[in-house]
Amino acid sequence: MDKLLADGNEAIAYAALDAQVNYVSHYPGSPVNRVVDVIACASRPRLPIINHALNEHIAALSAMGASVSGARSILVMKHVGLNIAADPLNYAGPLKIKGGLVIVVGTDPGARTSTGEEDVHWYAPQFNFPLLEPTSVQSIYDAVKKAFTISESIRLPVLVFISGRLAYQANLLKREAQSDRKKPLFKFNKNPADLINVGNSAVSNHQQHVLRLEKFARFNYGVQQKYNPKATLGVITRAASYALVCEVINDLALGSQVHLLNIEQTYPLNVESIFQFCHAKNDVIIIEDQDGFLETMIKRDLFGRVDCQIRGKTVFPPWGELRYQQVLVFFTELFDLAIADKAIAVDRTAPPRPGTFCEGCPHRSSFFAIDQALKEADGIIGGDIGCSSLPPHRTDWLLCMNAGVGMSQGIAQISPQQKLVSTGGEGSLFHGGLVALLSAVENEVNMVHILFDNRAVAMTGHQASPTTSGRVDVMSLLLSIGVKQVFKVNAFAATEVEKAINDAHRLTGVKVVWVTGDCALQVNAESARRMRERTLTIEPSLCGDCQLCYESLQCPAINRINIASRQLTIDMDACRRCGACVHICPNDAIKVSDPLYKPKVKTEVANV
Amino acid sequence: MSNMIIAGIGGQGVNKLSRIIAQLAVNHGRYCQYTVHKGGAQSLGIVYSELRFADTEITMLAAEIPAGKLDYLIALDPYEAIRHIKLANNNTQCWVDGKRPALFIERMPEFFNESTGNQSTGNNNSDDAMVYLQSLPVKLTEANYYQQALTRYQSAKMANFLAGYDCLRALGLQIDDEYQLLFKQSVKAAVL
Repeated sequence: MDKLLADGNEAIAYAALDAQVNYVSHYPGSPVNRVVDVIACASRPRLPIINHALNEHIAALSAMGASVSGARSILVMKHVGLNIAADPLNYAGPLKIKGGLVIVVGTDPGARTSTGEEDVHWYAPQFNFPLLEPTSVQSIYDAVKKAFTISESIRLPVLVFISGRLAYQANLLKREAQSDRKKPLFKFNKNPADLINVGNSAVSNHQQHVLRLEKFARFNYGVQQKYNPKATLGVITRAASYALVCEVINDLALGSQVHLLNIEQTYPLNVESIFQFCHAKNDVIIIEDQDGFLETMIKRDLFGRVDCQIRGKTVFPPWGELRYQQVLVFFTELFDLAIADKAIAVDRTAPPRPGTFCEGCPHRSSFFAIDQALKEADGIIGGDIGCSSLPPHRTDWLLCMNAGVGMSQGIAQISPQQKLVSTGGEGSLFHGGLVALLSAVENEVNMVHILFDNRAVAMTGHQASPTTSGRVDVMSLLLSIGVKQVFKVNAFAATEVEKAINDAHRLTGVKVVWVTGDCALQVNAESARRMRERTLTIEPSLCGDCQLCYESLQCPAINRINIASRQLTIDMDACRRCGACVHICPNDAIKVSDPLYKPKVKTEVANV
Repeated sequence: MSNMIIAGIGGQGVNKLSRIIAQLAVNHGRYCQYTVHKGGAQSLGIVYSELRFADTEITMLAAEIPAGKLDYLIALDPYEAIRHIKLANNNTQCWVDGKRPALFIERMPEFFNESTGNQSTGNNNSDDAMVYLQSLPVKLTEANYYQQALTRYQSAKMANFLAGYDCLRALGLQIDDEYQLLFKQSVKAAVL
């Protein structure tokens, strides 16, 4: 088969398909957000069952269920998702799974697509699962495929970590011809010895687990050695640092003075092969990003066995993504070389571009309303993960999933005199926020939660959320768990949202302002009609120069006509016709040419 | 071995153009690896991709283009050209959408003025960025892809297509039909 162009996400998906995976379970998260979309769109007669789980905890448990029933399963999530899946995954080792279970985790050194660059490598020794770390698109494909057979041979889940750099890298990929396996019949067989993990059986299952992993330590998967084996300087790399170091060594022509070892099987290490590499060296440098997991494991496993100096995190920092320049400077200083730089001199920098909401985003208008409602009281805005956190400073904190409603409860209890709203999308609500909300109800907390319902997990590529299908009756759900009052408001009617927030603050108990408005990037018949038939214009003679739409609403489609003027205009190419600006304009200066446009939208209020 | 950066902001189609150029290179027997860098922002955030071409397959190639080794730069926004121009050398060819209005960042004077040297607030044209780029020793092609896309396709989203087209022509690749076809296949509303 010819090679095709594929990126890291596609390589993971193709590997799963070519390994004839039966069950796909995930919670979307960048940088591995597209994997399941690619699997779902694959053109093949029989697709695996796809479980769009509502959080990583559930995703992990369902994959474990499929695996003990004999199905080949893949579990996909981002690094911080692994924290949420960690509880069940601690049981997946003693479980003695049947079908191969591969856990693909997207890591994010440099935190480009995450709220943190947490190093999740330490989960490998905690779970006691094998860990593979591919270095290129092809090796991602090979490692994910191989992981299924490893998993089945030692009956343990296998972790595969893909860094953000590799997940979004595209390169030529060779897929191996698919062997047509007959569709197996799966059956769950009762097996209390393995599946009831308590007391003595917990201890013996743990023992079995450790012994099975030790079997894997004799494997030596994905070892690459390059350059001069007789050199006394050894360099050990993993993941994305392999290509980086190769390029620097090639650029500096240091091939004869360096012996390089790249390790894809980073846990458990094949101690003998690393000992063979290190024992004849004077100096070994471990070049890796993040906390120095590989360095720690190598030093642990070779303790007292080698005389050479082994360095890692004393040379390269544990924060940020490893850059070419850092590696280049290290080698030029080590070998006392001069850097020949042909780059031109540039003395300007480009401005940063902090995130903002898209044109037509329902969150823009909602946050305008929140700011208006809280500005007098200097209120607190609890931030959650999702598109609602794109402009990073619109909320007072930006941490993990469910931090909006969760942390707000503590603040509301300890500092009730401050005006507070917690925020979060519907993705967050069903991820775990609902439990937090119920917890606030049960503890009789006074707080207002703003639920942004844009009917999609928009940030990771519009995966479905429970409100996409409309099967969940959000109103009844919230009232049934004891929410005092629910205000259902149209997001694009900012004055209504503001009024609902103020009304909610006058009541005791937990109140929810349920703000609805579809994601602007979702094209449906109604949004297409609006784009076709609706035009918005700012009438200069009516404009009162308050600049609310430009400075406070901050719609990117509203611009000044030129440098000198404060006169505003709407860019109809960028505008999504949401009408948020029409709603907030105090002078009715923004005119809409659409007979179907209704500027006032009624708020629905419900309580028990 | 040659290196290219395609730079822009979220929503301008950097990812799509990178894929199409890489696919064309591969279709014509060249080797290409590209890496997309996108931040947390779907729209209006910094997006760029680093493409690396070679005549034969290279097994391990870093994602990052080293300073001084940038051969081609396509920038769909002048400030994004400034962001990457420090990697350029005297022979670097650049295609910059020069008349793109400064989008959104002009509302944040604390960032904007400091890095651009622009003292007036609310400057929504990017002439100063272009003047700076013109002062640098690179081969600069300035075009108004934004306005051309609006005129020809009634959508600024096609600026990436036009910029890519200019670049491919300058590279001497006579693959117009193939390029259009790849674009057509990836554009939902067939505007071409």
